[in-house]
Amino acid sequence: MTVQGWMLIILFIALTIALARPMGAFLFALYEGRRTPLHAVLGPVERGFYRLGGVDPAREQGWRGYAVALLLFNLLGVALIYAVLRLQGALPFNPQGFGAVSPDLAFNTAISFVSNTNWQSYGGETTLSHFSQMFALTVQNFLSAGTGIAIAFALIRGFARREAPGIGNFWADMTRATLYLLLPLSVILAIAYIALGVPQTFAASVEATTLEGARQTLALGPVASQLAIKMLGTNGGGFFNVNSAHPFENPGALANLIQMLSIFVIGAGLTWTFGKAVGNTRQGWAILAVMMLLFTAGVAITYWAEAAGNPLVTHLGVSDALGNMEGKDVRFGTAASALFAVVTTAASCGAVIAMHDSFMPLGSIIPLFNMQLGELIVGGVGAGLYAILLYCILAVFVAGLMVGRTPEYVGKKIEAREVKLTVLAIAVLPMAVLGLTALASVLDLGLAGRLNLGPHGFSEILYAFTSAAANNGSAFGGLTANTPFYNGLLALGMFVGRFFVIFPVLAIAGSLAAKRHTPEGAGSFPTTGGLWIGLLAAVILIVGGLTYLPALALGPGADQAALAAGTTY
Amino acid sequence: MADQLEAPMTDMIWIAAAIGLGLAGFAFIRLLDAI
Repeated sequence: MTVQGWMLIILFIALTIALARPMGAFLFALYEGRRTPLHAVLGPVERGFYRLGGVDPAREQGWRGYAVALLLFNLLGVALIYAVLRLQGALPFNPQGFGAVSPDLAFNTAISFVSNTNWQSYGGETTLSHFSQMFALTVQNFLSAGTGIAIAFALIRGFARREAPGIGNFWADMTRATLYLLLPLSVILAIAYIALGVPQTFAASVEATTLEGARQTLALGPVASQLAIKMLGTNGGGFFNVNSAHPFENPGALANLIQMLSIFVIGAGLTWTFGKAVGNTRQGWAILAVMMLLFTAGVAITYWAEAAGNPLVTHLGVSDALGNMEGKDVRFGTAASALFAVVTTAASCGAVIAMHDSFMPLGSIIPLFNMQLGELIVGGVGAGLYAILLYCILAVFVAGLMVGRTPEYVGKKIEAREVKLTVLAIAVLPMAVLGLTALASVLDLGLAGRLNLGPHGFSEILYAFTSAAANNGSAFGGLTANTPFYNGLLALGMFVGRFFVIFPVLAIAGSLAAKRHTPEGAGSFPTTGGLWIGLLAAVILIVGGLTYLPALALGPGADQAALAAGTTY
Repeated sequence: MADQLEAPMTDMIWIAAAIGLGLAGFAFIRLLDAI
């Protein structure tokens, strides 16, 4: 580990915390439906959408109405993506002349981009036309992120409102988040990326001559526009197969820092929005503190594991001065690669600048564990906040059991219905991850996809279903996933991991919104100080640890032990 | 266009799978009401 590496990590954490309040304040204006400076330009567009869809943005929806609208909208997205990918060969902006995407891959990709996962069983530059990339995928990058923010708004209203019948209007929340936040910020970021060297063109490729005199064809396309929302919306689906490890998708240190910050900025801001909405910004800061505590620990472990290098390679006489550099870009090295891996898996982004399959087994535990916790460390846009609020409910329930009082959180009594829904929402992810991993680990169709045998092969399968069900989308690498078996099963994991968590969350929002406000009393458990931060972090780690420890021990744990004994797979 | 849809039966299977997931979603919303 180097001082320079740690300075990058500290700078990143400081900038994330510094951006939380201004971003949170803007999000609060959108949450409240207040007028922003952007309304002068985009207000008519917003009203046009409502007129076109026959939507009354002021009409409140109960949680069921909100959930049904959300599901219908997302199913429409699945149908559109599937149709575009299957008809790709007949559609415009296809300079490479790509034919139709196979039915199972089109199904997988449709669920993937609608669920904000962006798992890619294909190489973008060798499979998809510009039209497919822009119209099917980039559009969904905006809409799936907008959907996530809308759910966070709905849950915040659940805590903030008193005896209210509704939790907001899905169409208004989704439209406002997309139009006033994601779209303008993406335009600014895309221009910044273009200035830093990211291509934005309809040309298919350019011919180049290498230093050895060989001719090389370099794929091009509208990369900057997809890159901007890919990070900001924590989508993660790369224009190129190797994602942000490609120099055209990540031209240097500054672009890399901007990409990492744009992954975290909305998720961090939403914690402040939550605090503001419930009348005490310290509530939001406490949540961000837990997130940053777990994040810092994760980065430290991953950076340490990668910087220490591979003892088997060192034993061959290769210097370990740079650490474990297999699968890493020499422009970024171990510090930035470890930081990026933890950022992208703490959030539900899934973009990569290094191959996680080539991380040391101990280094790969943190990306896996981050996703398995439900990506609540800042998390996906919107998804991170509602994931950690589920654990807040669980933590006050545990605290309530210890002191024998009805648990309360930010002025709402947490009763049996909320606790049941919370446990259900938290249990969905491990059921999908572990159940589907177990299935693929015993069936020939699943085992055939592994590149490596032994615990490393198991890690490849575990990572794929973890990434899918947690809606992350990053690939460990190694696994051959573009088969009907994996395309179907991973799509199932993505759908269940997204919507079967969202619906209980909305049900909790509806249940809480209808309750009275309970003022904080002398017996209320404080949810802003150090005791609360410690309790919440402990509940997250214990629940996550107990759930996933056996699988992690069978995969990266056994892999690390075997490596120490001189065996690799 | 014909070569785009060379496997209509396969398409039907995956479209049916998508419809199945959607219906499961609606059923789950109904189920949550009972909790």
